[in-house]
Amino acid sequence: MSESENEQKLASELKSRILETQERNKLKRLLTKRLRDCGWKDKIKKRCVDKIRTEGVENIKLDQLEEYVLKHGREAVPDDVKVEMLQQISSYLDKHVSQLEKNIK
Amino acid sequence: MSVSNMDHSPSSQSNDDVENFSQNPEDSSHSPGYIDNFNSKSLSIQPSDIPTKGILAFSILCDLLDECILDVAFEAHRETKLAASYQRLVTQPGLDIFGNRPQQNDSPKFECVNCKRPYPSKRYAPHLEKCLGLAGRSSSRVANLKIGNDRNPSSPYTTLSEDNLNQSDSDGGLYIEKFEKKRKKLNGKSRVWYFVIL
Amino acid sequence: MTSKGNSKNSQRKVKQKKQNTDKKMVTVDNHVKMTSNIEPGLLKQNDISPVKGKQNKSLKKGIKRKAEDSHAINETFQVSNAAVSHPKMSQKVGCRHLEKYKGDRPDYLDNFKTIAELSMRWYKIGIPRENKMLMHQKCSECSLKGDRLHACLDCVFIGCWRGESHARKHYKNTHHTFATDVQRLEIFCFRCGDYIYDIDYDNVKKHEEVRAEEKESDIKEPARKRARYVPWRPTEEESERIKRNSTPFPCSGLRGLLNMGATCFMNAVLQTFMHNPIIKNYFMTDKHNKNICGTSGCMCCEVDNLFQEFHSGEKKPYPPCSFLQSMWLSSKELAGYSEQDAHEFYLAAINKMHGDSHETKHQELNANIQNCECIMHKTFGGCFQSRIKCSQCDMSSDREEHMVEWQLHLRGLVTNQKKKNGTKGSQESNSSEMDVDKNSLEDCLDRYCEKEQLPGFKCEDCEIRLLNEDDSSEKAKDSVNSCSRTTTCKKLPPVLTFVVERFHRASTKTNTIKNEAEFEFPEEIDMAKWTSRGHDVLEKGGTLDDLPNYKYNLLSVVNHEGKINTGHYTVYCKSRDRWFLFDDHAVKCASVEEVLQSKRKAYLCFYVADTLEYDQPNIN
Repeated sequence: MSESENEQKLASELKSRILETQERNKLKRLLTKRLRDCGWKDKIKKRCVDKIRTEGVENIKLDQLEEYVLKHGREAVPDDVKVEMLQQISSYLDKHVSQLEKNIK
Repeated sequence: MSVSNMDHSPSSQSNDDVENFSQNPEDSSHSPGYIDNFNSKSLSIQPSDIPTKGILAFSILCDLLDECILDVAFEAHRETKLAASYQRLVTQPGLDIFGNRPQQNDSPKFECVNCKRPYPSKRYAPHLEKCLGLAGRSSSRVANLKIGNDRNPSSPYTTLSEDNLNQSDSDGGLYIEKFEKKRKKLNGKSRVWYFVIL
Repeated sequence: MTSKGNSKNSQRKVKQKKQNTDKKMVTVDNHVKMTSNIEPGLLKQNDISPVKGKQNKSLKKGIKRKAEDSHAINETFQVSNAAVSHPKMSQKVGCRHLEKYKGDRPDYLDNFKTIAELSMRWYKIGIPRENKMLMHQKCSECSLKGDRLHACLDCVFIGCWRGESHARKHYKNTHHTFATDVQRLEIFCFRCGDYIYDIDYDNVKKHEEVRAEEKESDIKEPARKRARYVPWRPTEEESERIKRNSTPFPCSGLRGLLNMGATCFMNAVLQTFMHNPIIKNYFMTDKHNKNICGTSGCMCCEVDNLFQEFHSGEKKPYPPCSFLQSMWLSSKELAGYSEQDAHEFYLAAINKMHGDSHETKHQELNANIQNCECIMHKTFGGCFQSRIKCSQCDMSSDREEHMVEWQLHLRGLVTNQKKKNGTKGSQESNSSEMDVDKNSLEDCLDRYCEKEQLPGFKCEDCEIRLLNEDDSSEKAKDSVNSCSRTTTCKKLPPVLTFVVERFHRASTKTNTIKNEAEFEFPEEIDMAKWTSRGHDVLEKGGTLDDLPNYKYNLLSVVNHEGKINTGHYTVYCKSRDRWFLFDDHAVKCASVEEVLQSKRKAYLCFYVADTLEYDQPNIN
């Protein structure tokens, strides 16, 4: 059990380390750009705006809105965007995981 | 201090969201080739999963994606909320933003700046042209143009001369030749265009 | 120029300003009355034309700003100082809880400012290439990182949002009503249960974002010196003057222009000027006052008058009579009544306003577009670079071409013509509908900037070299085909005008044909790869990541419908994040989708830079 616990701990540490680097900002910018270029952003925004209009501006809270579009948003991402992002993330992990592991241990 | 009924409880909402998500296997398996049953809760990985590189990458991607979705939701929320507080603009199809009928049946008359006589809007420009002496034969036009020329200090670069033509287009490809008509005008010849007024 | 020198100059200028203030105030007071239009609801920055403080410097300091807030005063005019306490003002501020909160505390923004500044440091600014670690925050209770932490606005507490939801628990314990998302800097009101949007907080946020961008670009472009942005605050006296002499009333800056007889081409282009943030801010802050200028036939005065009319609150469409007269009497190109070309009017208007502006009269006569200080050239003026390269001798020579527009050539020809048997149809010349290349803005720009061979162009260096080598003429022939030319944009103007080449003279006929091919344009575009710098970087195999921000956003689209002689111009303009259709006297709401659908009609497309950079102050 301790081994999987260690690995689990490693995973969350890695994640939070990743959060702290500029690379994450870069990845986020890349993802935003791809999503905008393929029309995903317009679709999701339209869905949000439609939902707000039907519910009434005063009645819908942001968190409710987020919950409403979350599932649709996740599914609507085109596969090629996902593939590209995963490749980018994987290559970054390749570069830095070993170093991060050392840092943690 | 009493807490109003409108209070939103983010924690309970998010817990529901997480549980729904974990019970619903469809969400995670929509991309072919990746590990099924992967549960992409924000930030934490299921204890039973071994953190292989693939899972980690996917988890990071999901976090980023959720953030993007939230950004879009914020944008939509902000824009609609702010728009509602602006001056009320009419969005009905047949009307303009002030609620007026766009067809102007009553065309009010406007005083010509030169001769002070009233003219309806559509006739204003044709009248003004004659009133200022800009219409008619080329000789009187040229004379008027000269008057107009003296009033203005000439700028270091003209816009409709040949310099501009050469400047802004590359060799090859179609030229815009509408400058032709302006050159003809400046030479005092009669105009090529005389558009029919609706 | 050192920062010391800068501040001395600015101090001197401020002193001068103060001495002249009283005199100017006499004439300005009336103007302020007419033009300080503040609409109820959220006070939007662009409407305010307050007392002239330091805005003369706004166009001269080297600062990076967001395009919509290009004017110094607009961004920093503290609403709460002058307007909220104005007796006639009744405005909604975020939510009623926030209003009360602000009323209770004079320094309500201080905490938020600190958090905003820190947030930039935590999440945004870092040194690229070094992969420096950012300091992300943890929840004060459970040390959870990352997910939507919220910072309390009343005390030093950061709580998580999901998970244990310590932010909310903090509110329950302390009744501190407001918290801000640390990463996004959006304010949450626990009593409303929702995010609220308030202009004061938005201003602070924008300010900090600009500073973060400044720092980032300092890293990317260390050679370029920037003066530190100094916000303007009205003094007590100025606040009093504003309150006493101004009358706020609702206006939207939207107004139709009457068609005075085939003047729709003029109306369309004028509307683009009226909603162009840089031109608008120039005139709304009294940089050219028609009462002070007094030159007869001055087009800048006419445009100033237009801005006043548009912000008068009057809903009936405006007849631009005096504008028409001024334009005709002083511009020989446009004199006379006839349906004309919007593009030509655009060029003529720039030329005319250049001639009439104060800045032009005070500068050297042979200034070119790049150096010109007039508002039109500062807004629209850019520069192309034409580089000729010889593949044989590595010679490369550059030539600069100044421009106020970017003309784009469409591939394929689509015309709507009546066929011989009388039925209307659309026909292509040379290719079927399927084969016509898609003409998107990106495609057109790619074609514009691609390398073109110059057959017959002789490379001088090669010729000289060959003459010296005393070789046979065969080698000389090689040099003839070795040169190529690439045109890129060396300097992008703050507002980019794309002109779609729709009017061609047909080869066989004497008429002009209108090309109605679809021209697809995006809402946002990143111009990096068509700049000279970006192009060079890409040629060497580098990445565009390290370049500064060259993003542009769609601002206006002038459409032409119908045939050449009898067509009609309309225009879509964006005003305060909303799109409107201006059809002469009729102003209607429009949607982004509608705007982007006008592919067949789009003629002039205006894009405004996402972030603006001001020039270095003139060192005289």
